[in-house]
Parts: sequence; C-alpha cells; structure tokens
Amino acid sequence: MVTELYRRHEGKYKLAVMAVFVAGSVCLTLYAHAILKTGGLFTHLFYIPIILSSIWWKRKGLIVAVCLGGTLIASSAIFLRADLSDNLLRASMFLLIASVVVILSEQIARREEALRESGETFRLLSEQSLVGIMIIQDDICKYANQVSSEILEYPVEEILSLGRKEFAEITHPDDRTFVWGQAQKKQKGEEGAVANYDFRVTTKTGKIKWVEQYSRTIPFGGRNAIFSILRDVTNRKLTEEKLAEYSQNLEEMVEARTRELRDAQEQLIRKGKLAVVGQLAGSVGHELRNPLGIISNAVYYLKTIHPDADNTTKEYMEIISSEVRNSEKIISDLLDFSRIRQGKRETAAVTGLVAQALDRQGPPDNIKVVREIPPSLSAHVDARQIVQVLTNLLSNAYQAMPQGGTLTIHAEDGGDAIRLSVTDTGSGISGEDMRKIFEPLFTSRARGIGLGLAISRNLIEGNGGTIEVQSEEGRGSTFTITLPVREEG
Amino acid sequence: MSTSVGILVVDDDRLMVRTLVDILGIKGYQAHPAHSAQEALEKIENEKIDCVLSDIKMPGVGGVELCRSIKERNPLLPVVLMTAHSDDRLVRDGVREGAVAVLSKPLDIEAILSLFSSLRIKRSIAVVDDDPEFCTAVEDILRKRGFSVTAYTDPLEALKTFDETIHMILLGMKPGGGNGLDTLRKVRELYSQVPVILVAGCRKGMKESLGAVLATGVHTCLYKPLQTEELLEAVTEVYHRDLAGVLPICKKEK
Repeated sequence: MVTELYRRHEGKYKLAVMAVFVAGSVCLTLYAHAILKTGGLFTHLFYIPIILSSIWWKRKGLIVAVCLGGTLIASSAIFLRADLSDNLLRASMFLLIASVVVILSEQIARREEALRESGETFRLLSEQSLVGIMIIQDDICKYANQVSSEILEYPVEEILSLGRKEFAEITHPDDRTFVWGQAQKKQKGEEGAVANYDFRVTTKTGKIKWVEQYSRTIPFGGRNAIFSILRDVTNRKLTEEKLAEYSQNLEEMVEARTRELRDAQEQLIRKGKLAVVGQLAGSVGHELRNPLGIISNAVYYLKTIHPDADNTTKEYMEIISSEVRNSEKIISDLLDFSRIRQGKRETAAVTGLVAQALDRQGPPDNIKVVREIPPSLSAHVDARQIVQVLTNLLSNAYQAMPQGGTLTIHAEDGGDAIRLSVTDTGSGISGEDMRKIFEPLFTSRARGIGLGLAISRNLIEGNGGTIEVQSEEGRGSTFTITLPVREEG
Repeated sequence: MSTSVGILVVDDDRLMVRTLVDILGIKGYQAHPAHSAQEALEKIENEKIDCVLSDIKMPGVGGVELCRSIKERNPLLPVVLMTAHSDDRLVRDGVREGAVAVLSKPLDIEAILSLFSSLRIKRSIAVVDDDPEFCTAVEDILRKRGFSVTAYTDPLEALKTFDETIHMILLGMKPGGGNGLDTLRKVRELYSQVPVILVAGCRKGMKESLGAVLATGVHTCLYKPLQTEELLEAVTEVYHRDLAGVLPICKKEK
C-alpha cells in the first residue's frame, strides 16, 4: 500500500526530500556563517543531496551541486569576508562528485535500458512465437510460452506448477519411454540424443494430439536444461494416416478393377462367341426349315394317297414324320437361343414363372418334383426369358436323372434379390466340366449343341441376376439363380 | 369345278408349291400354284380364289407386300402367310397387313386343312330385320361377295330355323331397341358362339347402351343408313377372325 503510493508519486517525494535537504543545507550554511561567524562547516553532509540528485536526475543533479557550492561561497563572502579559497575548493569538490555520480548513473541507466530492451525482445519472441517453447530442467517445466499452453490446453501457470510425475503423464503412454529417455540424455548433455521427433500428448481435456518437437541442451541457471520447441501436427498426422490408408485401398481398388476388367473381357468374348454362333444357328435353322417343310409335305401326301400301304411302309412314313418333327424341335430351340431379344422387365410372381416352366417342360413319370416357393415372392424380370432359363434348367435336370429321382425347386427372399435354386439327384458334374459349363458350345452329352446354359447365363445377367452351379459327382447338382426384386438404380 | 374351294399357293420354292398343291388336290381343293407375287396377283384376277397361302420371304415382292396388294383389291379374300423365320417382326407385319394368320414352316397340314374346310362354311350369314327392303339390299351386297345369305323378316321364325350352318348374324334394331333387343337376348342365350353385327336405326351409343352380358359377342354396331364399305369391313373382320380361330395355335395377336 505504502510502496504503491510511493511508486505512484515517486517524483514528488524525490522533489520533497531534495527540497528538505537543500533547504537544510542552505539554512545550516547561513546559520554557521551569519550567527556563529564560523567557517568550520561539516560540508560532507552536503554530498548526500548532491549524490542523490545526481543519481535521480542525472545532469540536473549538477544544479544542486552548483546551488549548494554557490550558496557556500556567497554566504562566506558576505558574512565572513574571509579567504574564499577553502570554500572554492569545497564547491569544486561538490561539482566533481556530482559529475562523477552523473557519469556513473548515466552508464548504469544505459545498461539497464539495454537489459530491459533485450528482455522485451525475448518476451516478444517467446510470447508472439507461432510455436510452443518450453524449458525443462530436471523433468520439470521451467518456462512455457502461450502457444505451448494452447497446445497442451493447460494454463501456463499450471504447467509450471506440475510435478515431475504429472508433467511426465502429459506424454502419451505409448511414447513416454522414448520421449523421456531422450529427455534424460539431453538433461545430462549426452551425445547422440535425437533432436527432432513426433510424439503424442494427452491434453488437459483428454484429447490426443500429435506434436513435433525440436529440442537441445542449453545452459539455464548455471546448469543443463532442455530447450524445446513444439508444433501441433495433429492434422498433418491425420492426413498422413488417411493417405497411407488410401494408398492401401488404392492397391485393393486397382486389383478389384483389374479383376472386373478381366471378367468384362471374358464376358465380351463369350458374348461375341455367342453372337457368331447365334447368327450361324439362325441362318442355318431358317435354311433347314424349307426343306424340312417339303419333306413333311411329301410324307403327308404319300400317307394320304396310300392309306392301304403295308405296315412297314406306314412305319417308315411315321419314322420320317417323327424325325422331321424332332429336327423341327432342334431348329426351334436353336432359333430361340440365337434370338436374344431385349427383355421387357416387369414384376412377376416366382410361383407363376416356375409353373410356366413346368408347364412347358413337364417331368418324366419317374421324377418327383418338390416345390418350396413362398407365394409372396416376386421378381422384376422379363418373364419369358426367365421361363426359358428355368425350362432349360429343368430339361437339364431331367436328363441328369435318367433312372428317376427328385427335383427340388427352392426359392427364398435374399433382400434385394430372390434366390431360386433347381436341385436334382442325378449324376452330378465333374470338376473339370463345372468350369466350362456356362461356355457356349460346351456339352457333356452325346446329343446337344451346348448352348442352353450359355444362353441362360446371358439371359440371367441381362436381367440383372447371377447364375451359379454347385455339384457333387454321383450326388446331383444345384443351379442357383438370383433375380432382382426391383428395378435397379 | 366352280363349287370347289379355290386355294392359291404362293412360294418361290417350287417343291414347296408342288407338294402343297398336290396335297390340296387330293383333299378336293382347287389348288393354283404361283411362284411369285406377280403371278399370284394375275391368278387372283383370272381364277376363282377363296384363300391365298403365301410364303413371306420371296425374291422381289414378298408375302407381306402381296398381302397388302390383295387387301387393296379384294379385302374379303383371306390371306394366310407362312415363314421359315420365327422373326416376331415379320409376324407382326403380316398381321398388321391383314393376314388371317402367320404360320411357321414346316406347316401343320391338318391345321391348314381345317382352316380351308371352313372357308365356305364361315360365309353363311343370317340377316334379321323386319324391313324386307333392307334385307334384300344387304342380301344382294353380301351374295355378290360370295356369302351365302338367309334373310328373315320375322325374328321368331329366324330363331326357330337357325342352325349350325349360321356363322354370323346381322341383326337390325328398331329405334330404342324394342323387338330387336329381345331377339338379341335370345340369340345370345341360344347361339352364344355366333358373332353378331348390330345394325341400329338411330345413331350412336347403341352398343354402349346394351348390358355387358348382351354386348359380349356383339362384334360391332353399325347405323342406318348402312354404308356398303362399313358393312363389308365389319363382315370381313368377323369372317377373318373366325377363320383364324380354327387354327390350333393362332399367331394372330389381337
């Protein structure tokens, strides 16, 4: 309180003290000279105001010395009329002392100013710095600037007050051994400590941040300390991590795309093969139909004009007729296959599709058909194409079971798609055949052109579905198709 | 031979024509061969033809175009097309140009024979109207086009004498329905398969005003005064539709 008051009115106090001293000195001089009529004055006391004023006001202090010296000379001249040389000597001593003090105090002031300035520069550098600055000595923080406080989310005072243990715990547990191992080396001034590294810290609010640190050993208060610069690199680290993740994904993506391209290429080749086969089949089929028509007309004519032919002739006529019908059937199938029209997709009940296929391709007497189809299921497909595929699967299944067996048609809801499977208990398919089973012109039968499954696959894929086969030799096969429930995209 | 049914067989494949003509010959038809559309059109001018059986794919003028030409000259003459191609587009084109049916080769001979056998039968029409002048006029028009027509001025008599041989009924309606409506109801009860063409005295809305049950089987509704073209068009449509109905698998999509 008192010091506060003093500080605020320092100038006035100094003036008052000086006025008292000067007035006292003047009075003392006049009293000794005029009343006591003696020149034996204790002028050493006069040095007090002279030195003080010279310290306080520098050159202006000389005025006090001049005043006091002048007063001494004038007073002795007026009142004592004695030899002035003694007092002149005293007055010159006043000036000399004052001058010396002024010079010294000015020097001190300059040095102080320089010190103050350098302190200010340091403060500015440290406080306005864009990086965190810390000085650590004996595992305790001796100095921390504003930025480091912002990074760690601790107030500066709190960082400085943290104990060794608490301060060490700011470092992330996983990085603690390394960071404090390095700190030990630097504290001891050992060679080979790492100057620059990244590590994690746990902030006061519990956030994990990445910081980049530059640190080295400096002398501080006569002993070793660690001067450390910190930078928050959390964002950079996150980006780096993402980048690493992305480059990892990129590899996978490239792999996936390559696979897709290869599949697409295979599909193109398959489709191209099919298209050529289809065109050929189409034109051959058409060309064969005319001669077949003529043969069947001719046979009809012969049968009509020879109703009383012998049995063998009749039998042979019948053979020709039935073989013409068989040929006609093969050609119809071929033409059906060669003509993949653009599908018209509508919502169709799965039970209906299966029923139509079973209508077209009824089972032989020795085959039992089991249907496991929930009536609620429907798919968004071209019904005719799917029926064609199912008919083909049924026909294949029957042919796989010449000795009879069970055919199971099972359907289930698979979310976005219906899974429909046709399972037979027939001869099964060998592993080698399985790979080629959807290839055009592949057939395992003595008769057949090997287009059925190739066409089926094209039709199913054209309808946004998939077809696959599972089989065990001697146990039977399952063909599973998926059909989309609703329009895609 | 004027009473036998005349069939024109058109195909650029000579063996196809020959075998078909021979078969039709032994089945009692008067079959005429033609190997191109031009030849076919000439034969239609000069011979008595009741039906044309033509291939679709022929060099030059094809079957579909031939069908169009025939329709321009003689709309009533039924044309049956045949093709080795199962191309949907050709079938559609053929149907659009007025072909009774489009059959695929090899031909189902039995089916085509049953169609030919009904060519004459399907042409018997009963005309029922209490106006004798109307009956006579309609009879004249249809007879000229080769239909066998029986006219009845008394509906009750008509109902009694109708039999299996009647394949189309042209029923005159009085303004406001009246007698004609009762007759129609009875016809629908007794001869539900026979198509009916109504001829109404007043204009518009006749068919719509009939009940749903009555309307079934009523092919169309014409209005007096009767236009010859309208009458022939309606009769031809019913005739061709009936012929197509004979075929087991009819490719004609309506």
